[in-house]
This record gives sequence, C-alpha cells and structure tokens, in this order.
Amino acid sequence: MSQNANKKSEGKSKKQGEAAARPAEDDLSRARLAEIEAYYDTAPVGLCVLDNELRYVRINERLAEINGIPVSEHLGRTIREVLPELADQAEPWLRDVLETGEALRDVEITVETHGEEPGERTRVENWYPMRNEAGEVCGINIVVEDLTDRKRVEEELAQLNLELEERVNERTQKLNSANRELRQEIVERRRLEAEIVAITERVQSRIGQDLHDDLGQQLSALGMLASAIERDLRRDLHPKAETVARLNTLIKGAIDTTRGLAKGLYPIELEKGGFIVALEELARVTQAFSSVECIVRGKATFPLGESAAIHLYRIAQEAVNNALKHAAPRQIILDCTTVTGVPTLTITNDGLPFKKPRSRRHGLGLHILEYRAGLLGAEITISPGPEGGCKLTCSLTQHVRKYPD
Amino acid sequence: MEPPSQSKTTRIVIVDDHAGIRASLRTLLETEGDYDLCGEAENAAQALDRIAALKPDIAVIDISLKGAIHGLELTRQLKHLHPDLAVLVLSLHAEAQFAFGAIAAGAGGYLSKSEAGEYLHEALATILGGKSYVTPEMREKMGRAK
Repeated sequence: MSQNANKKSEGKSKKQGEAAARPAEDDLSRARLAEIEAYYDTAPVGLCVLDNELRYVRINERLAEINGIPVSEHLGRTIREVLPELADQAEPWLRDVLETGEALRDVEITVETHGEEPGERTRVENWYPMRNEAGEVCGINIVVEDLTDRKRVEEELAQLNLELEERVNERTQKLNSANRELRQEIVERRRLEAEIVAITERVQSRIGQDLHDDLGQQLSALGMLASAIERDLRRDLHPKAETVARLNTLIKGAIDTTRGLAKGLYPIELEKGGFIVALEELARVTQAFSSVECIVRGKATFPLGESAAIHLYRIAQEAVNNALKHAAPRQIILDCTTVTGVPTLTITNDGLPFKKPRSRRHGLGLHILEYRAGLLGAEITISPGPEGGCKLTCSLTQHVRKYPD
Repeated sequence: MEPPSQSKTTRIVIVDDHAGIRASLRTLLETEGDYDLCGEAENAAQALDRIAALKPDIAVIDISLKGAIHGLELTRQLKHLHPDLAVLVLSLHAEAQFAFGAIAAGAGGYLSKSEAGEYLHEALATILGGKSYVTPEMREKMGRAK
C-alpha cells in the first residue's frame, strides 16, 4: 500500500509540478505566436491560409495589397468570391494540392486586380499543404510574390535592350555603309592616281618622242644642211664660212638639248637597252647638263617588266632631280644592288641634308615617288647620306616576278 | 667585198622616213665625193624593193623606220640578201648600245645624225674601203660600255 501510497503521492506531486510549469510554457507559446504573427503580418511577401473549401482563413497585409482588396474582405470568403479570375486559374491546382498533399512551387499567375494600382499583375505562388494532428490535409499555406514590378522592369530593360540593339544595328549599318563608301572612295582615288600617273607617263612619252623623232630630225636635217653649206663656203674660201660653222655649232647644241629633254620625258634606253643603260644615260645627261658628277655604281640586273622598269626609272629620275634642286650636291651615285636578296636601288648625294616637306602640296614629288614605289610593291626610305646629303633607298621587297608589266 | 676603184662612182640608196633628212643627206652628198644617189626609200619594204632593183654599193639606213621593220632588222635582211652591200646606219641616238646593235646586225658603220655633217664622207669612205666605222667619240663610249 505504502508503495502504492507513495506512488500516488509521487504522481500527485508530478502533476502539481506540471501544473506549476504550464503558465510559463503558455506565456512562451503566446510570445512566440505573437512573434510569428508579427512576422506574418509584416512579411515582404504575401501570405495566406486557405481551408479545404478554399476560403481565406488568414491573410497578411502584403497579399491583401497585392490583391488590391482589404484583409477583412478576404476572411471567410473563397478565392472565387474574392478574385474570380485568380480562381479560374488557381482552383484546379489548389484542389490538386488538397487531394495529393503535395506542394506546388513557382506557379506564375497573371490576374487583373482593382486596388490602388489597378491592372494586370503577375505573381508567383507557392502552395504548401497544411496537415492536422491526424496527418490529414486541412488547408493550404500560400506564399505569394508579386512579380509585376520586376516584370515591368525586366520588360522595360528588354525594350531598352531591343532599342539599344536596334540603334547599334542602325549605327553599324551606317558605319558599314560609310566604310563601304570610304573603301570605294579609296579604290576610286587609287584608280585616279594610277590614271594620272599613266596619263602623265603617256603625255611625257608622247612629248619626248615628238621632241626626239620630229624636232630632233628637223634639227639634224638643218645641221646637215648647215654642214653642206659650210663645206661649200670653205671650199670657196668664203668669209661667211665661219658664220655658218657657228650656226652649225648652235644647231648641234640644240640637238643635244632636245635629246636631253626627250630623254627626261621618254627614256628610250629602257626599251632598247634595259634599265641599267637607261640609268647610265640618266647619269650622263645629268652630268652633262648640271656639272654635278653623276655615276652608276652597282649594276645588278633586275628582271623588271617594262612598266615596272619605267616606274623605277622615274623614281631614280625624281631623286636625282630633287638632289639637283634642293641639295646642291657635288656628286650623285646611283646604285643597283641586291641587299639580302632584295633588289635595291639607292640614290645617294653628298649635298645638303634632306628636309621633310612642309605640306603635302610641297612634297608632291615625294608623294608621287612613294606612289610609284607602292605600284612596284617597293619600300622607300630616306636617310642621311654617308657624306652629308641624303640616301634614298628603294627596296623591291615583293618578288620581282610579281611586278606589273 | 672588193674595195671600189677610184674612178667608179659610188651608188647610194638612202632609207629614212623623214623627208627633211633625206633632202639634207642629198645636199651633203653633193658637196663632196663621187656619189650617185640612185634611190631613196622611206620604209623597209620600199628599201628592199629598190635595193634589189638598183643594186647600190652602199645603203644609208635610219635606225628608226616607221612600220613593222626597223632599221636594224632591215640591215640584217639586206646583208642576208645582198652580202656585198655596205650599210651605214644613221640614227638620232648617240648611245653606244645602238652602235653595238647596228654592228651586230651587219652594218659597216654607225653614225649619229647630229655628227653626219662632219663625218658622213669619212664614214662612207671607210666603210667602202672595207673597214668598220664609228666616230672617235662613239668608239670611246663603246669602250666604256664594254
């Protein structure tokens, strides 16, 4: 008994202890509940609880705001009564959750709302089944996030991207078009430059040939006649024989001048004797007309086509003329050599140092010279000469067989 | 080729497309020596015909003839057809390579037109004497060019 009495006494005491502890536990539960409710009410996402008939049992301020309807107008009403359009979309799925007891996440729904900001609003909802103590599904706990603003920003961003892309495309097209026009202009300009050089060459050749073949012939005929007259006069011991001899000398001088001019305009030696012969003749004429020593040193043979040879000859001629005009040299050396496998023409003078032209207009000769070099696929460099003056180097860097004929 | 006797008149054909040159050569030949200017031609085809017909002792040929055949080619053909024909090539060019070309084609001499007034008779006489002729100045140029 005593054991039983003791047991009873222990049981009573335990119950008394439990009863004493209950108010403290209740206080804690209430505090926690208040805390949870505070979280629920102030949560930045929409929260609600629906019962098995899809009535709103609980809803927080945020979801009421998303729905555009006050909290009080939700409670006790079904979602069909509150938001029929939402019900049309959500009810079948919500019933699935109730029936299967399985949660559904990230369900995107767009509905027309009529609150402070009426209009279409997009939301993403997560539906979690709620179970009673028996484990049966007794409702649905819902978390709603309003995506409308994010969607709007995304759409605006997409629109901005689209506009930006359109602008970039438009600008790219304009740039491409401008680029095409620029390229066409460059091609046209090069064509015109080539045509100008070709026309200049033709005109020079024509004048040169006319000077040589026509004026030269006429002067030669005159010279022969003068010689014949001089011979007759001398035979007759006529006092005018000396006058005719002077006339003959002047005619010979005129023939030499004509020949020199003709050669400058049309180097016939290129055609008849090749590049080195033409270069030697250029040196001879330069020396004869300027009193500057002009010599051809290296005489390497470059297999050049006729057009390439004339361009290279003109480069040499322009360099010699520039030296005579600007450098006041005592000597000009023309040198055809092969430097590390590259056919190279150098024109060196010992006069004044080379001065870069002030403008493109002033440096037109140099520009044409560079243009001719470009046609040959050659590189032009101008450097100080070993004894003052300057050295112009024309390196035929492209394979000679590629030169135009 | 046999050297011509002193008494024999030298028959000459001039080949030049420039009428003024032909006229001046005529005048020049009239001033000295015993020359018979038996014919003239202004191109290679005429020259081939006339030389075949006239059989001159010497042809004075311009190097730059108009038409398909230039003076050097004409010289080659004439020397092939008429080995005894003496040829003096006349030219506006005073460069050595032209003189080399003329001699190689079979000409007995080469003379620049600007020097013709002074040296034509000497050149003709030398060539007809069986020797080749270029002026001293040209000889020097040819020596340098070798």
